[in-house]
Parts: sequence; structure tokens; C-alpha cells
Amino acid sequence: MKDTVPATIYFNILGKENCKKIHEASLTIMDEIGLQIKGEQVLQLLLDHGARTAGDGRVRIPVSLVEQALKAVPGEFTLFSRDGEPYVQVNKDNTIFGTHSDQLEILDPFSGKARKFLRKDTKLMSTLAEYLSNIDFVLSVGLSSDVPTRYQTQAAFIETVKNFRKPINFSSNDLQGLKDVLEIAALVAGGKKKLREKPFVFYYCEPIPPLSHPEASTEKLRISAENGIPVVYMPYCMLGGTAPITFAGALAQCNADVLTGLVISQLVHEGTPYIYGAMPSIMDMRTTVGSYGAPEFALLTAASSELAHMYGLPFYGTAGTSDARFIDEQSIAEVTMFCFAALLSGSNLVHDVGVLDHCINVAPEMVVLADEIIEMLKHFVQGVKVNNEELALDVIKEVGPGGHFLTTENTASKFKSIWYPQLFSRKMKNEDSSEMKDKIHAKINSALEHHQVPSLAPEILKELEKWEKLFNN
Amino acid sequence: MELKAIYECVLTGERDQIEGVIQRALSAGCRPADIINNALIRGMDEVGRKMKEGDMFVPEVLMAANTMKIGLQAVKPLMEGEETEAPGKIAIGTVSGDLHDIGKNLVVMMLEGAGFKVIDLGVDVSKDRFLQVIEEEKPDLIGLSALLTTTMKTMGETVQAIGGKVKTMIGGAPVTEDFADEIGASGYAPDAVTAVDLAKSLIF
Repeated sequence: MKDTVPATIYFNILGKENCKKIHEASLTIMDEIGLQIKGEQVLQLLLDHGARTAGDGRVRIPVSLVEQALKAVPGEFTLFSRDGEPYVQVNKDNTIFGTHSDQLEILDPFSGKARKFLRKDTKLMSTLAEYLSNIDFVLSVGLSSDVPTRYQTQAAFIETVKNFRKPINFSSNDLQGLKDVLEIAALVAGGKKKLREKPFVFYYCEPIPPLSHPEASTEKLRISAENGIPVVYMPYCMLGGTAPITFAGALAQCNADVLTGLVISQLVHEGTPYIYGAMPSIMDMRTTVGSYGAPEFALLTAASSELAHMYGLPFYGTAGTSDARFIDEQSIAEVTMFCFAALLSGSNLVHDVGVLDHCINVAPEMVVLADEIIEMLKHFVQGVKVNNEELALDVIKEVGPGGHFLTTENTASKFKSIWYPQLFSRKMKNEDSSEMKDKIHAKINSALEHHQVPSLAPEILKELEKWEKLFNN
Repeated sequence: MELKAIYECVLTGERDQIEGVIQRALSAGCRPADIINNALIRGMDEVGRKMKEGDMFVPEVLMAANTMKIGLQAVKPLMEGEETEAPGKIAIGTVSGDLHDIGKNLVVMMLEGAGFKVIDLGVDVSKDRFLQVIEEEKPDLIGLSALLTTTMKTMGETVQAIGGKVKTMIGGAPVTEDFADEIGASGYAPDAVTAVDLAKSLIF
């Protein structure tokens, strides 16, 4: 099982009182203002259990449904590795980070240029993510430009699962993509039953804020819940565009969308693991970009984490992202701020590490750098223990005024609990120019050369080949 | 003097004031065509320029666009017989399968603000619906929007179906200039302000 570092210090953004106010506002949105919910089966299910429709076409969800769903949903579940070993306990106390196994573009670490993402790049991303100790899952999206659209989801997942043993988060272009990936995942797990018992995959889908849950979204929720696959339902909203410009209003609306997904998932299959996701960002009113680096985005994501935890749910957060296209001063500042916020707010499954250019490219070099940044920050959020051993009065007495601690038993036995960076330099005499890029490249090359993920069993590979034939060029 | 006041009114987005200011200009003998071309449209041109410079923000631009629209509605009925310089008619929608419309809505408001007649076809607009609108409404330009990579494919099919019937402009987060070339669209705009410039260049 992954040894996660539980944060011992948290910051509160909202506090209990304000969390409760936002919760109540969300209930008002659901029960009085109403939402647009499509998809016949899901809609009927809602209506059968007390939701109401009116002439305006909106669906209103009573408080009792939300309360029932909150009682039914588990606060904890285990994600397994590809090989069926328990990998991580997902709950509101542990934090793990993940990157993408594919994206629209890749910031090519070898040429330094951003270019279209190709299917072969999935192997690079997956191998790297497997190798880095602070990256524990990937998001397989289905965006390779050299695969026919119809099979992008399936191709991305197959390429990922061949090169990655840690848990896989996946999204799908359409319902067929979801069904196909569930087939493929079952193949790898050794059957549908085993996949349900020991899920090494979890699904990602989303509504369209404000308050719109189209058929494609609710069907995705329904199918994943029916198959007992843990699901993240995450509104991405932009303040001033698809959410109110005011922070509290945006959080309340976003929370209403997440709770609506929760109600649906629990009505379809009581007890199905549901992960609270939220991306309340801002719309930049100069450029209309939905920001991936704004401080308000980091702040409201952290606040959403607090809301999720009030419900006892694990939170799917965001960190390690930037609006800049390259590895530069801006992207490193934004990535660091966001990783810090994610750790301090106790976000649990933190996605998007290394995603730059407001979600257009993924940068392997940034993933390597973020791995180091996360490690550094974990040593911050460990906090300070205060007990007799840690106070070490006996050692202070032994050394006394004017002495030194270099040769004490206490230093010798404990100095390794202090963090030693792998990339960051603390040389007495630093070099004349930065060595950072070279170190990052060496790490990427080392991962590619020496960290081959064991092959899947031949019979599984043979089955996967049948799929691959559909989209091989 | 009166034209300057209208121009300023657009620039500051004072939608409650615009009709009164226009009435004063008409009473002072300003020609409706002058009000449109030398005050309202020039005001919006300046708004577009300021936005590109980073001096104006979207909500301010939209207020200006709205002010312009109200102004146009006030002047247009008086234009009978007079030669009007309507910049053109544009039909716009998100392509089949795509329900994300914040970007498209922004473009609609900006185009209207620039004086175009816009037919907003909404979301999830099929190839056939676009073709039907081309047939019935004879627009000068079709605008297509897509947020998803899957619907980009649909966008390509739709643009191909439209063919040479009418010019097309495309946009949306994953859409690029290269993609526009690939599918044979007449133009691509990365944002709503550029979409207005693009529409003007494609129509005139």
C-alpha cells in the first residue's frame, strides 16, 4: 500500500459556519431554483424518488434526497494496482497526485517545442508517472491526434495500462468509450467481478455549469455507478462566465452541481464510491481564458476541498498547472502555489500535475519538477511534533551553551528525517549556470531506459491486440 | 458634438443613456446614417481596439456592445430609403454533439455589438440544420464552435458539407489555425474580439 503523507497541518478557508451556509445555499439552488437534468432513465429515477419537474423544464431536488445520498455514499474505498494489489486508501485524509497520460499537446522534452500529442507519447507519460514517487495516478483522456476520434479513448487507455501499474483515472469521449474501457479494464483485472471488487480504474465525467446535466453526463454517471466503478463528477466553472463572479456564490453553485451528481450516483447504485470534484476557476476578462493558474482558482479549489470533507467525501483536486505554455518563471510559480494549496487544504486525489497552457499541453519536464516540489512541500505539511523526545531537553543539556550537535547520537540517528532534494542544488559553490534542465532530462532518460513496466500477461496482450487492430494505422 | 456624445456613450457602455443621446442628435439634425457609421460603429471599433490593448475587459465590452445594439434599434427604423451599411448576416451555433456554449454566446454578443445581424442557432446544431439555414436565411457567413475534440470531427464534417456555399469561421478551445486549414474553413479566430475582425474580413 502506498505510504501517503497525511498532512498534520491544514488551513481552513471557510470554517464550519461558512461551510454550512454554502451547503444551505446549494440546497436552495437544488430545491428552489432547480437544475437542467437530461437522460430519461436518470430523470425517471429522480422523479420516482421525490424530485419534481415543472413547466419550466427544470428539475428540483429535495433536501431529503441529498441527505439520503450522503448517508449512502462511502467515505473511503481502496484503489488497486493493475496487478490487483491494494495501492491506496482513498479517503478525506490522504493526498496523492496524478498527471495526464495524454493531452491535446505535449511540451516535447527533447525538442523543447509544444506539438500535437501522439499515441507514442502516452508511453513516455505513463512510464514517467510510474517512475516518479510522488505521482500515483494518471488521467487517460483520449486526445492523441494520430488516432481516429472513434477510438481515441480506447487507444489512450490501452497504451496507458500497458505502461502503468498504478491506478488509472480515465474519461471517455462518449458512452461507447466508457463501455469499451470497462471491457478492457475487466480483461486486465480478470473479469468484471474482479474489476468491481478491486478497481484499479476510476472514472471522470462532468456536468456543464451552470446547473446543466446533459444526457451524456448523467448516462456516464449511471453506467459507472452500475458497474461499481468509483466516479469523479467535477464541474469546471468560470467565475463571471459560467458561475457567479462572487466566490461564495460560485462555490454554492458548484457544490449544488456536485451534490446533484452524488444523488444520481447513489440512486443508481447505493454505496457506489463517489469522489467530490470541483474546479471553480476564473474567466480572465481580458482574454476570456479559463485560468489554470489564478490564485482565486487555487483558493476556491481549497475551499471546495473543505466542503467535500464536511460531507466526509474524498476530494478530487487540481494542482501543478499553469497558464504559461513553457517551463518558465510563471509556470513554476503557479505550479508551486497550487501544489502547496492542494496539500494544505488536504485535497485527496490531485489531478493535472504538469498541465500547462491553460490545459492545452502536458509537460513531462514539469511533471519531474513538480515531483520534487511536491516532495519538498510534503516536508512542510508534516508539521511539528511536540513531545519529550522531540523537545530533546536531555540533548540540549548534554551539549550545553557554546557546544555543538554534530556528534550527538540524536543527530546521527535522526538527521535523515530532514529532506534532501534530488534536483534542487545546495552546493557550497554553485555552478556558473543552472544545471536544472540537465538534471531533469537525465531523470526522464533514466526513467525511459531503466524503468520498464512489466508486460501484461501474453493472453491479455493478445486480447488487447484485437482492439488495437481497430485503430492501428 | 452630438455624434461625439453617442460615441462616448458606446465606449462607456451607458445603455440607459444611449436612446436619449441619439434623440438629441436627431433633433439637432444629425443624419441617421452618420449616427450609425460615425458614432455607433466607430465607438465599437474603438472598444475592440481597447480590448486588444488590454485596456477594456469583457464585461465592459459587452456593455458597450449592448449599448450599440440599443442604439442601432433606435436609429434603424429611420433609415428607410437611405443607403444603410449593414455589415452582414451571420448564422452561428455549436456543432452537433457539443453543448458548451459560453464561447459561442460571447461571439454572438460581440458580433451583434459590431452591428452584424446574428442568427443564433444555439447548441448541438446538426449539419442539416446549418444547410437549411443557409438555404432559408442566406447568411453571409457561418460561425461554428466546438469545445470537445470529438465534436471537432463533427465540425470538419459540417464545414465540408457547407462547402463553397458560404464562408465559414470556426473557434473553440481546442481549435487551431492548422485545423481550420485542414478542414477547409475560411477562417479561425482564437477569441471573440478576433472573431469580429475575422467576420469583417471574410464578408467584405
